[in-house]
Amino acid sequence: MTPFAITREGDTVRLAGRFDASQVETARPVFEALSGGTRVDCSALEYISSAGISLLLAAHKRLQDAGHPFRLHSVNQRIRNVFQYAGLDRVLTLE
Amino acid sequence: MERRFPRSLDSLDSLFDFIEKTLAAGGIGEPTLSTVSLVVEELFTNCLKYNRSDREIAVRIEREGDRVLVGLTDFDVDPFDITRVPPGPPPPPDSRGGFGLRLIRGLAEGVTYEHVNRESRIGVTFRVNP
Repeated sequence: MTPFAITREGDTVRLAGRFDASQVETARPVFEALSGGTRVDCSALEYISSAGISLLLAAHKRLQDAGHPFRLHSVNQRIRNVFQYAGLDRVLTLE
Repeated sequence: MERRFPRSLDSLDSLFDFIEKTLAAGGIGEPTLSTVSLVVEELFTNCLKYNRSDREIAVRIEREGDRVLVGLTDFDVDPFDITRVPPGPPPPPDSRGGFGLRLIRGLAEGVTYEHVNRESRIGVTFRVNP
């Protein structure tokens, strides 16, 4: 599995590799800096645990409350299953 | 095979490495590898959150036929039986946590718990995906 990486370009955040609990503090400033509609590109995301999910959910809630969309794009089936088991497949917007 | 890991998020890399190499030795790769890794991470980080002990955490992994058996032992800890926590409804949209147990229950075939001599012993069974 490849190491975790997060990059931001305009309104797109790209996640890659293994997003485990030890990466949350790396990712947090990127998500907390978002202030408008956001597309999260998950095409290279291989793994996510509840720590990463909580960060996504907090950003989703904060931006949605401000009237901005927060969408997860290109989510593979394995990650979708994780969201489903967490009960979040109907909370987060998966494209 | 069993190994002990320091009680720190910094242990996750070596924990994942241990899982990957142990499963590979048993001829097991994806998607079982990701499933086992996720459940073990959730159990391990729960130990970090809820037990302030400085004792290491023991993780054991073995293959038994078409099952993977994982054991995690936390030392010097009060009892918290994760198998007795009610499943509860899906989290509300403004929820920020509490997903770990849902993931464990969703991904594992079976979960057992016992608390003996201030040790929490959690056993998790997975069916090996073809």
